[in-house]
Amino acid sequence: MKLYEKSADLLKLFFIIGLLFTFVSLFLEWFSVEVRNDIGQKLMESTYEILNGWATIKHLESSLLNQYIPQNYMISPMMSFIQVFLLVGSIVIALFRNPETVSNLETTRSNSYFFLSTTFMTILMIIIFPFMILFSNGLFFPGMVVENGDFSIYVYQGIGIGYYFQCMGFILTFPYAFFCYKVATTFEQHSRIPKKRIQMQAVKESVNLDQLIAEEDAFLISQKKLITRSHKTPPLKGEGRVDQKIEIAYQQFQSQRKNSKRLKKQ
Amino acid sequence: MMMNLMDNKFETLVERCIMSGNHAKLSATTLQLISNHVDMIGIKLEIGRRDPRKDEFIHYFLERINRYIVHLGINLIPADMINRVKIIETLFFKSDGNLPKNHLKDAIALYYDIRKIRIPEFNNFTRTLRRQDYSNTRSFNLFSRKTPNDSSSMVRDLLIDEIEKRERELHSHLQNGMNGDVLETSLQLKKIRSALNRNDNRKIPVQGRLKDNPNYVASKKGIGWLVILGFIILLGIFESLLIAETIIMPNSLEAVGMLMIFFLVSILLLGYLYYNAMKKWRYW
Repeated sequence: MKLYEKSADLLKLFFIIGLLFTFVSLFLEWFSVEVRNDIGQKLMESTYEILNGWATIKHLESSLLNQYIPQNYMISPMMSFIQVFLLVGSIVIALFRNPETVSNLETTRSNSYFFLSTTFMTILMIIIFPFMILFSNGLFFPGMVVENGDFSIYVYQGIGIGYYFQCMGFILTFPYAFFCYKVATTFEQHSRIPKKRIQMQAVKESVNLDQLIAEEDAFLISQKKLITRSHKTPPLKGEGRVDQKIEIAYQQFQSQRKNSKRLKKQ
Repeated sequence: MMMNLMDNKFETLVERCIMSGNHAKLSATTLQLISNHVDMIGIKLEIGRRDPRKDEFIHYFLERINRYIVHLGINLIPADMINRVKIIETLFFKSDGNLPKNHLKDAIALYYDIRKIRIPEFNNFTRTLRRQDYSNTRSFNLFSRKTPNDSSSMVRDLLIDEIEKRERELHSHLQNGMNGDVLETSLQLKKIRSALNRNDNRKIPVQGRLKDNPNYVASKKGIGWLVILGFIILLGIFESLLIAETIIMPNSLEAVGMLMIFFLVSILLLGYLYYNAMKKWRYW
């Protein structure tokens, strides 16, 4: 078997790994700021996590360090919740639906839109994080060492493992999401011929004449039994008239049938 | 053969129902048989079955069938027949499923009348004209952009022109009188025309699972390049972020300038490789 024949499965595996990376990234630090003196002693450190915002630890109590504490801007937690929902949904869909084996590609189309939404959300997080958190705090992307010569203080800034995971998540999830989208928009499944046959069969089976005849037979037999049982007793008022009516209607029907058959032969 | 068997059964049922006086059962069965036959007409014409969930009465469906083949200039279902169905259906629902005796007779007669309308069974010829057979003539790649092919569209236009001519001829034939063969040919032409028109959206039809389709399996070549495309997009995002950063904080240009150049070169290099690969798959 050639590699490209298995490539869809491989992409799916990458996709699931990518989703896990993205999910884990939400609980890791996305950016860190460390303030050190000229001998490398850590004076203060601030880390940013998507769910918790900025967390600052001061190793030295000094009002001088306050200028390095980032302001607590935060990405709305709602965005994280939406991302978690999309990630979980995508994992479930990816595990239980395979576009190569489904019988209805329409589901693949909706699945691919879901996957693309997840990927889009990852891109959105990658883009809005620097704008909302870093640039507004005067921090540099992707990282930098800023020297404050007056106090011999060095500020180490850099993106954290959470942001890297988010980027890796995008790299791994994008191919499969795009692949599903292309499959859904390039192919369409036709099942008209078997559908037609099934429909015809269903129509034929919707009336069970044998059963209806059997029911009527059973009814007539029970009626006959009743009549023979009550033969000794005088007939009920109007019973004879009903029998007569049935007989006339039946004769009418028979003559009609004969006429129609004669017409058909002609 | 099947119909004869069914006729015999139906006649037996009529006989029994008259003997037992169970007109309600006979009414319901007759109407069901009419409905079934009308459904069969719909299925054969590929309109599908009528939809009782949408309260589509039989006479509405018969009108829909007539509208479907209106371009042929014929009324497949005569107007008086539709009217009779309408009366019977209305009475059936008004009388809670127990048609009056004289209308019951008419319902039975109507069933046999509707059966006289014969729709040709589409043979294999029609099936071979489905869209997949056109698309299967050319190899393609899943990620190549399908460019419009001038020669194929010219052939399509010529075919449509020929079909229209033939349809006009058949139209005049049908106006002289209903003919089963002519009707079949007309319907086949209609299907061919719609198949040709459907080809415009350029979706590739497959039957059954994608995995079993050789076209799909072959089209997966080059799928790995999507990872490169992902890289290109990500590098593009980083490049945009750095540009935005230098605009917001101009003093950062000195520090991130080299990085910006590195990203730009990477984007160009990967983009060039991706473009070449896609060009290769496009003509595969």
